[in-house]
Amino acid sequence: MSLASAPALHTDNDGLRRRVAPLCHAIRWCAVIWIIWASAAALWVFGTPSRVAEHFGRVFNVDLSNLPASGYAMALAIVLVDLAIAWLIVAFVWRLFGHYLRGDIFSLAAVEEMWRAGWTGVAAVIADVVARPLLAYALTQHLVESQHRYFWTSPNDLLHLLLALFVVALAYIFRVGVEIADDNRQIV
Amino acid sequence: MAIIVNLDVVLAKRKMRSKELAERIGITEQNVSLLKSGKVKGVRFETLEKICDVLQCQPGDILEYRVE
Repeated sequence: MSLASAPALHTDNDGLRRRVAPLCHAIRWCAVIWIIWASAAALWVFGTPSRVAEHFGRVFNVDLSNLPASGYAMALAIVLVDLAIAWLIVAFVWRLFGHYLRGDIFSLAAVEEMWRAGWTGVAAVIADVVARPLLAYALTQHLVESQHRYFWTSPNDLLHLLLALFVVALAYIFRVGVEIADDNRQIV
Repeated sequence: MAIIVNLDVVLAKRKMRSKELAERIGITEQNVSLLKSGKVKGVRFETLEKICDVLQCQPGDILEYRVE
């Protein structure tokens, strides 16, 4: 019998829901605080070309006082795309743990949310790795060749990729869990 | 389905409603209804024992195998 056609038997996930509720609230609010904090920090730096020049001048150890408008615009666009993906992850995490808070734990809807959060996480890591050299290029392209900056990946990227793939793997495992739970729901 | 659930027959013989059985064995009326209609994948021994105890019957009175 398919999951969709299974009769809706009364089930009780209340015990599990109560146990995970504090964790779900903590995860949801941590995600919200993180994205607001990260967005505020990024938008503060990228709010004006002078702040970008000052901040990244220090990071790259170059003089960016003559940063062209095109370089600033490109850098801002890169950061906005990066932030948009991060907001998307937070939205999926918020919705996923919302399912759990409603006791909707072993359901296809929750699994799909987890799957989306995981793959968006993978996309975010890749976007981050790509964004950094692009950002460096956007901000230093007007300088002489010797002052061009290219920074690539860091060990933390691999850690973030590992965590995102972990969520994707969990989603696949949970999908089987949903099928088992569905079978169990049809036993009275 | 090769396994036929005759719970409705036994309930009728005992003049008992599904609601009362559900209350006495501690499962929802909705689940009793699904069990009666055979729309379940299985019955726990625990549930079967309670049904037999309340209805004073044997598992064979409730479940029957028919060759399709």
